[in-house]
Amino acid sequence: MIVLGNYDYLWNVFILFVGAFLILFVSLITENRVVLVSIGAVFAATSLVWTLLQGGGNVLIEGTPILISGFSRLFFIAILVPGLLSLVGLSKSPMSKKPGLMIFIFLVSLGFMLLAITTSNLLFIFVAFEGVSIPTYVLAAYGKSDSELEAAIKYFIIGAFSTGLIIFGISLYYIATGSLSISAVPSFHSIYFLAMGLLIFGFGFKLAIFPLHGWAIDTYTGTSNPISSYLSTSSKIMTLIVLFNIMFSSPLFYNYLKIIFAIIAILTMTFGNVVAISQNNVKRMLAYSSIAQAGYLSVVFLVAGTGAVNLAIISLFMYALAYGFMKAGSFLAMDGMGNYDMENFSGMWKRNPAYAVSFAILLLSLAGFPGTLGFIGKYFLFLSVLSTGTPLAYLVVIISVINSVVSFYYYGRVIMFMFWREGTKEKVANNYILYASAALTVFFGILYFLVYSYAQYILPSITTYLSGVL
Amino acid sequence: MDLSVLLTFLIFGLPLIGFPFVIGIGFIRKNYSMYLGTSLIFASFLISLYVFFNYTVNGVVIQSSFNWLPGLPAVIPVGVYADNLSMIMALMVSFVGFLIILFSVGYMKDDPNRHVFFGEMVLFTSSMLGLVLSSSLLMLFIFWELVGLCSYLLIGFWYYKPNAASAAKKAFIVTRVGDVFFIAGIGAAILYSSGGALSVAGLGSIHLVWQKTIVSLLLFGGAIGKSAQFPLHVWIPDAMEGPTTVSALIHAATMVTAGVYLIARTYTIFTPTSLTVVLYVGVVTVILSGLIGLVVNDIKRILAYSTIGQIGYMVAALGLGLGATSIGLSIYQLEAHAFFKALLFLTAGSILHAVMNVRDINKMGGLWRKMPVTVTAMFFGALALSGFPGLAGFFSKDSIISASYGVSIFAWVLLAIGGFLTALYAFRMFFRVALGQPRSNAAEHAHESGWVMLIPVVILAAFSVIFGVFQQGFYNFLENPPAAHLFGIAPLTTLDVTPVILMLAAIGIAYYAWGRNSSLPSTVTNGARDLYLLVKNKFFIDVLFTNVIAERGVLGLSAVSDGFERRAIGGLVDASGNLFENSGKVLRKIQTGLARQYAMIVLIGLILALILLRIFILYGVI
Repeated sequence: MIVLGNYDYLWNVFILFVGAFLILFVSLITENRVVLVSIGAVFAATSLVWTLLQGGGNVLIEGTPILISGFSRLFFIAILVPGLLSLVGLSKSPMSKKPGLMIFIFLVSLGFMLLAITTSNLLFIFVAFEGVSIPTYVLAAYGKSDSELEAAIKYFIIGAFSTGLIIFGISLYYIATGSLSISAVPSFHSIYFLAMGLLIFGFGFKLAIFPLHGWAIDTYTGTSNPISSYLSTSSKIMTLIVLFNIMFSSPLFYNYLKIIFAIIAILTMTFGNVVAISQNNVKRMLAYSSIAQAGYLSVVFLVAGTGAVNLAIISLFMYALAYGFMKAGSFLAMDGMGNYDMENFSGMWKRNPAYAVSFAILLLSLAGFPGTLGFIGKYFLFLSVLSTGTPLAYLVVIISVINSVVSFYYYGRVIMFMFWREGTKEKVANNYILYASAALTVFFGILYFLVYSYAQYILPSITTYLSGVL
Repeated sequence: MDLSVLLTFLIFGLPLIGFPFVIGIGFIRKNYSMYLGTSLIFASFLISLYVFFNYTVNGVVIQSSFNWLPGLPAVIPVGVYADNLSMIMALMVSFVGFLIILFSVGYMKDDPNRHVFFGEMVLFTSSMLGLVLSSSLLMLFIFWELVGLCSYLLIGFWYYKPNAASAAKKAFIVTRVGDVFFIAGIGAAILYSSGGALSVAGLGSIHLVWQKTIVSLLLFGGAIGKSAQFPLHVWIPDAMEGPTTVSALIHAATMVTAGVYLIARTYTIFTPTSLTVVLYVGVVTVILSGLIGLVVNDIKRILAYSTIGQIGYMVAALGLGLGATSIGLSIYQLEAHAFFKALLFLTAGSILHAVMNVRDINKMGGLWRKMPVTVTAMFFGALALSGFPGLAGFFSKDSIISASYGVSIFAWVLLAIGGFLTALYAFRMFFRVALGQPRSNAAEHAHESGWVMLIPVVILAAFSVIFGVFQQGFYNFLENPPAAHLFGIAPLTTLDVTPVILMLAAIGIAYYAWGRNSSLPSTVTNGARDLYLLVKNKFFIDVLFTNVIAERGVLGLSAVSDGFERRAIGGLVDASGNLFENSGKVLRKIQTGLARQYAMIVLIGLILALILLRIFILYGVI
């Protein structure tokens, strides 16, 4: 019998890989998309349930830098949920004739996402990160249309550029600290900060924060809807947690990098919101709004080194979960809409009331309307930042709130088109992923303490949240 | 989470979460939503029974409350609170709601939109259950509004009838007037106790008497709107345009009892001043509704006015200010009323079903022979409504009348006259429906309803007859947490004789005037022409509201604020919108679509960030 040590704590990752290869074999027999997607969804769902039931506690996998902590489990959930939604969305979206390979790639990248947030070794993070990047380049390019190829090429070029930055950053990091552990203490401070700057920008490209956002808009707009949803949710949340691990383990982080992140967060959300206002294409508007959301999410870095970290993590989890539902749901809602022009959404209330109501709920949740999980996540995130009490925190939160108000304008415009504009009478097909996301957004938005108490149960104390306690 | 809390939550949570599925499943097969809706409410009823007998009877008060949004200056308590009062209400609402929805399975079986109807009925019942089980005024208010919304949707369910659409709007707007007071009351409670008094358990945290008076009167304003008391009773008669089962649900189990429940729930903050107001609002309502009920010909509207009157008794009982006794009197009347009023409405619904929705009682007659079970059940309902000794209404209503003697003889006299009027119009309606010859073609061809509609009617009739035996147990149960004994009636006094004599006299007069062919009614109306017209026009209250207040006052005010909004606020909004839109147009120019430029921007950003970091290291940070 092979002794795996405590590798069985990683079954939620292994399940995904096993499922991926199984799909590869099944696709030799049949290329029926529904069959393949259902197999993939079953494996992803098993992984999710496995994670949910695992409970709290820290496990260090022997001989590796992998630490499964309550923290990483929480964000496994936040990654797997939108991943599962996007995977189910693959069953409808128009794609090439070989879905087997696509779902294989999808599950592999999902597995690497989980690995990327569990470890404290920069090289391991890098490998897992590339294990996500390379499959997602392929996913973005999987269609045959020009827009999809363009999207994939842009994604690939900027991705390759960022890989260079990461590698450069890691080498400088090693020079500065003599170690690859993310919690290492530097001996050369200026090189250390140079390395950190490079790492933020290298990893941050997937989060699409302000100066790194360029590819994101074209890629989210260009690729097929499930892939847009996947890239803007699971991949983004993974990146956020990787950055979170790196930044929060850094002993010198608290003083300087916070300000950089404050500036980046403000610029990101303001840019995303302001440009989203002048968009007439709903999918492109959603792409900009996901830039803005990345800005809200980055606000969490301001709590580093304060007593508010525990609340911040729980609220980040709630917001990430909300973000997964909202963005995956709304991108997948684009399926079956033909073109994404705002005019095309007019009269939706008459054409398919359930679609109109659910989409409106998701948009309101994105804007942060009370009664939805988006509001709760934002509220608690800002509350945790405010409780640090620094002037910087107040400044960032005030600007974030102003931005949320501005965002009502463009979300509200879509709602207005759906409910009060007369348009075509053409019927719209039911989209059950959209309905489910909207229902869960409201359900958890009102009964948010279910999520909150689950997170508290997983994270009983503050000391267990980092993977970088090696 | 504790099991009891979870169960209490499920009582209203189950149908609340289930209602979209009730509508959704209707798209597959419409009849499925009838079965799903009925079983959801039945499940609620079973859970309430379990909670009632496992916890409440043993004196356990289930409460769980937490601050919904921490970090605000005021507390927003949210949770469940189930004491004896709440559980009695929950049991009644789920039980009567279940019987009504079961009746609807037969009543609405041919309606093309029945899946929506059942979804809304389930939402309606669940919001009422949520209302009685809420742990805070704020949560109560949310369910209160949900109840209002459902009543709007259901009254206007046959929206293609212009009457129904305008009745739905009227109900919504009139109750909204009350809701303004409710919101103001919540605001005042937050102001005086920084939110502590919002939770049911923390009502005592308002200390000063004048503050209590203000809060309680404002809350009572909300109750007036929802419970259709004078002067906001005008929406209820119009609300009869909806399907009859909706009327039954509104009048018996949900909606109108919400106001009474609110007063009972917050009884500790009612001061003697506010209780006097409560008492006389109730008394005036009893008299007014009794008089109007005498001249209306629409069978459902007669029942509507009787509801207003019976709720008036509940409100008056609370206004007596006898502490827990008042709550006992009032809630017992509420429960008894729920049974006999649901019975009356369901039988009226059966009759309307049989006579093709002709609602004028002058066009019925002779139905006792055609529909024996239904009309016999209606007979017991009418007896119970009038307070015939031995039936539910006697124990509930006459106890209130007798109790009022010790507080105010004036109130006692008026309430006793109210009892007389109640019996008079109840039997006017009954005799016109049941006796004599059929006075229209539809009435001649009426026939008995199916078993799905008869079962609830018979169960409700049985309860209307025997409910009196629970009286003493009921009072004990609401006064002290452990129920001493479940059976027995309160001791009768000599005071109880007067209302009974009046009631018997009223039935006699009713038979003399309407039970046979008689010229008495027309003689009286011609003799007292002015009085008749005053009553017939409902004391001109509707006219006052629509013609004077709405058209002269509100429309003018809204024109002024509309102008202000368009010019001042609208201009400001447009200006800021343009600012963002224009800056968006400028900023989107950097989105060129060229990957090399994106890389360039990344590089510039990186260099700027590194320079910034360098500066921080050299000079320190703020």
